[in-house]
Amino acid sequence: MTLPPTPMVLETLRETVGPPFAVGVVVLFASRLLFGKTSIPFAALVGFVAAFAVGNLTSQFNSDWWPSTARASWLPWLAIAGAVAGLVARRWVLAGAALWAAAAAMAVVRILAKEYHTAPTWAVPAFVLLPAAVGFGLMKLDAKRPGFAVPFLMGCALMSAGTVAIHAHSKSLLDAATLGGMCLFGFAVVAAFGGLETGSVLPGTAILLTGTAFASFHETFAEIPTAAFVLPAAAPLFALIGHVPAVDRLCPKRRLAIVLLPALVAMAVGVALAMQAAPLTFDDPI
Amino acid sequence: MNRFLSAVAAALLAMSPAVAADKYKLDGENTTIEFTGTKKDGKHTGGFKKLEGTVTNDGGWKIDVTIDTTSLHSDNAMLTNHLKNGDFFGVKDHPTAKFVTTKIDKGDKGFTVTGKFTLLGKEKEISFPAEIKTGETFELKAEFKIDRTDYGMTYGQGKVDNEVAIKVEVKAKK
Repeated sequence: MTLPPTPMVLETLRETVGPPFAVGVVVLFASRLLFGKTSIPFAALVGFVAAFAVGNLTSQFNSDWWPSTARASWLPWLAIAGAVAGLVARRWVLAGAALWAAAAAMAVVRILAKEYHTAPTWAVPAFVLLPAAVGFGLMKLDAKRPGFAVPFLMGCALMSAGTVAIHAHSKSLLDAATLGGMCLFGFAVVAAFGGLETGSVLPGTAILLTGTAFASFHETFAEIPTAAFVLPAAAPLFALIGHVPAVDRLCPKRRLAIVLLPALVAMAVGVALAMQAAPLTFDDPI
Repeated sequence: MNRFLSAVAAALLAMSPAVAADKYKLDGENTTIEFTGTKKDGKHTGGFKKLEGTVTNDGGWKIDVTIDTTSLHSDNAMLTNHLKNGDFFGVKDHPTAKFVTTKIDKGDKGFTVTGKFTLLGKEKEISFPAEIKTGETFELKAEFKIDRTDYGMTYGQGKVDNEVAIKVEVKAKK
């Protein structure tokens, strides 16, 4: 495995990793300090949008801002739409679900390649139901046990999908996943100290996760096994075991281990498969 | 009557080679399309191995070429894969690029070729100077630049230059 050169690491930290993380921390912390705990779900949405906006400015991820024909340019917008739906669903379930369905339908049109719209017949349902289960399932889990675990897990899933994407030679998809993932890591840091509920954005991040995984799978010419793309996107489903009452009643350390470890292992396997199949070199990157 | 029909048939036969003489078939063997992308600390070259098209003269010259973007190659294998995916050419969604001339003007210093170039599903009119020779072979040499962002290829703006140099060489026999 070749490590990236130091200037590239510093540039990535400065442009893509640091800003969304800092925005996530600052917005959540400021909201907790100024408006109290009840403001956190709304603050999470504000922080999520701001993280993409600031990250886009610093990384020039999409200098046109508006989406183009490129799949990656649609992902932040679809993620934000899904996050708005998540916030609405906290109070008005049907309205939130309808909004999310609209965002997911747009994702089918803009992210899922046309040939998958008809065959295999399970492609469209899977592309919609997976993020629905991950997003709303984790949102409910976070509402039950607010804190760092769920945003941390989703941050790891996004970073894993982004790592697989760069091994599939898509820098834009890595950037899209990183902007969302680092914002969630920022949320996780602040939420760890106050048991804050940031899960309202998760239905949006789930669209980002599935979209990143599918787009990198579809567009790549690297010979990476399909499992490498599927595992990071599906791994958060393991965490839904936290809804089982017997698991929920366990002591915090055991509960966290059961909820987090299987999912993290699945993500690690996905990343390892991609790294082994298509190792990166950094001699003359663009 | 028979004499008349024979005369018409003979005239048609005499004309047919003249019509065929004005059509040249383009492919990846007789036509090279290369591009050079630049950035502040270097450059990369690439091109397309497969294409098909025709050069015809039905009173005016017309070039019609379709490039198979999946045949993209470059000076670096990893870069080739990166260029093929959605950051650049998105060849799975846009497997072809197309150029059709709308006019070819002769000037003092050579020809100016104008036509519609379609890349990433976006069509834009481009115009470039070219050296053209016709006869037994159709020869064309042209070097010009296009702005990749005109076609929605916006990845890496500020790091990778927007202008991409294109070099075209055609040497097609009748």
